[in-house]
Amino acid sequence: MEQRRVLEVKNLKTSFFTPTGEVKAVDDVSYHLHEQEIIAIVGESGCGKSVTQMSVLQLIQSPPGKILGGQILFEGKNLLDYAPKSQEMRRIRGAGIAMIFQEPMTSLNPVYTIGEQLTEVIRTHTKCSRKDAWQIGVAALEAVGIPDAQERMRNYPFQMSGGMVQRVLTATAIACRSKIIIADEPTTALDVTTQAQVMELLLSLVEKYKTSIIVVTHNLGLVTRYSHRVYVMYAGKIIEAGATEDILMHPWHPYTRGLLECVPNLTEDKERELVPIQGAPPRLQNLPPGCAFKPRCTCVSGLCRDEFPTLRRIGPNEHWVACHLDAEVSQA
Amino acid sequence: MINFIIKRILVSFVVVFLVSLFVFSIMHILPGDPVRLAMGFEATEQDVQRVREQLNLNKPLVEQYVLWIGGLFRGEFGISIAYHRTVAALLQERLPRTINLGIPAMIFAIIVGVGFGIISALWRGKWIDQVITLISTLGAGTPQFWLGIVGIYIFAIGLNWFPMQGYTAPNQDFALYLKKAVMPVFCMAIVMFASLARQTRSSMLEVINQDYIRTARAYGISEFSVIFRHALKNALIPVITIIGLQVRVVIGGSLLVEQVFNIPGIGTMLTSAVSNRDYFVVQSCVLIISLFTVAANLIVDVLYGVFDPRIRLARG
Ligand SMILES: Nc1ncnc2c1ncn2[C@@H]1O[C@H](COP(=O)(O)OP(=O)(O)O)[C@@H](O)[C@H]1O
Ligand SMILES: [Mg+2]
Repeated sequence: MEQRRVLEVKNLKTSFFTPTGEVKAVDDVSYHLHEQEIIAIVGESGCGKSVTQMSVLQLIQSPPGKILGGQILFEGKNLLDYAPKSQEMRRIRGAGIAMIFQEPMTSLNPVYTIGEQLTEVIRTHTKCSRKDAWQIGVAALEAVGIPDAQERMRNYPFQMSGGMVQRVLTATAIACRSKIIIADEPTTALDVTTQAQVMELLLSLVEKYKTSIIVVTHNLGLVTRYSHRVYVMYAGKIIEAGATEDILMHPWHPYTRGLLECVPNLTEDKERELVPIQGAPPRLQNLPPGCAFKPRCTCVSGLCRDEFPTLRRIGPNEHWVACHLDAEVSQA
Repeated sequence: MINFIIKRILVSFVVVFLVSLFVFSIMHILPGDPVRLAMGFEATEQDVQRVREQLNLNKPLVEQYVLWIGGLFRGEFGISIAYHRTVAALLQERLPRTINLGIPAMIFAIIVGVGFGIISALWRGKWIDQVITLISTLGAGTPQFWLGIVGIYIFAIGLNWFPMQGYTAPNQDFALYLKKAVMPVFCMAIVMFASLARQTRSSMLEVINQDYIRTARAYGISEFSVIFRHALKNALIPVITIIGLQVRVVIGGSLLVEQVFNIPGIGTMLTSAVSNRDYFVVQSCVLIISLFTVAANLIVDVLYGVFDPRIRLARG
């Protein structure tokens, strides 16, 4: 049975035009999100995950950034047909697709209270009185498990912890009945217990509000426990995609396997050494032809040098990979 | 916040007290006899001595100081030796003139400076930004009296747009007041205007790139609210600092500008009083100027709290 796709990104390309050249931060990226699904977008830092998500809401700073092509299909419309500052685009931001940003501590305006900021967003998207907006806000804060919600509405962001601010942003998305929540590194700035709480909260939203969620992360370990499908990004491209168990059990791309080896696994024996991937991700300008991963790859063949591997489907499931490696070698 | 304000008011009193001590000492240390200067050299030594006694100038310095301060609390500022009038009457006549030019200059500098700064930031790199940047760069470095002289030369003598100099009270003839006020107000405001435009532009540009501005946009907030509600309130916090510093510059500048435009305000009175060693006039003027400065800084401190909750709450 084919599930309904609430978001479909097709061949998205976003570049930054810097004095030193074009930075291809997002290079022909396609992915989709089903109703009530959680997907994970995984990759090392600097590989274009955030820029991809910012492009979806057309929040790319321009100049230097520019969305060069592709389609973003949401509720039957291509969002790229709208101008970034258009009324239509603004209506979708927050109320259709809401974003929770990477740095919670700097994500809210320091000179306004939580209540002032929350009610302003609510009143932007819903015709209602200040009082009603306040009530909706309080209810949303309670829904994300913030104690003393009335009290908290009068707090300023600096009086809260990072985890709490993240919940406030999540509450904002809920208050506006957002269909999709994009959480950019929601766990990175938090301690381990809070990380799990944040993920549990997001999971609960899927059931309670029928939300669909995109989680961006560089930590394959935590997210995969919650996501249905995984997209692996490298150097501005998706290099592997598939159902979470396929990616975890049969990772194909050497990069994906490298990422998995970085994950501390508490159930396995503790002696196992964590093997980080050698080297660093490439800078995304003037990339040479061929596979972007080849300088760090352990199984380079002649083909990798000259030809960029396109995404191809492997196996019976929807498991895709962009790698020249053959099945036998990969499974070895 | 209330505690903080009370504390600041107490500090202000100490500052004003120190200023009074300072100006009193300076005046009495400076050589030159005000009575002799006022009465001329044909007056006999006895006459001069008699006037000195009338003015208590023969008493020990400490006693003179105490008498002066005590008088202030009764609203008596002393007597001008050169003008033969009470300083209170002189102030009543001249202070409104200085205020009627100084306050509009500050308001003009704040509104236009901040406004131009915002425009400059929003149209960064465009021609309007370049024009504003040029004006504010020149403005910050232009001596006010020089600007005044050039202004008189071009707009009064050359183009005959404005009267050359002088002052008319607004309640007497408002149109004439405006005509005469344009150039001096502009000269008094130019430095403050320039630094406010520059500070507003740079802090606006900095704030626009902050994460919370991106968040506001990401939640569909209108561009108007993003700029004028979310960005501006943050950007104005460092601007307030500059306002606090520049108020002093305007007050200082107005003393000079009054000279250039021959405005019979506090500035011209203070300048001639210094050369006449007119003790009570100088002391009172300096004290009043310091009162204004202290009050302006107090307002700035309160504004900080209004704009920045982190400061407001930290102050308790
Ligand atoms: N404003 C910008 N100007 C130039 N380059 C940028 C800008 N923002 C992001 N980039 C580049 O885009 C690439 C992807 O960044 P990002 O999406 O933030 O990575 P991440 O996967 O860590 O979220 C990086 O190489 C970064 O240098
Ligand atoms: Mg990122």
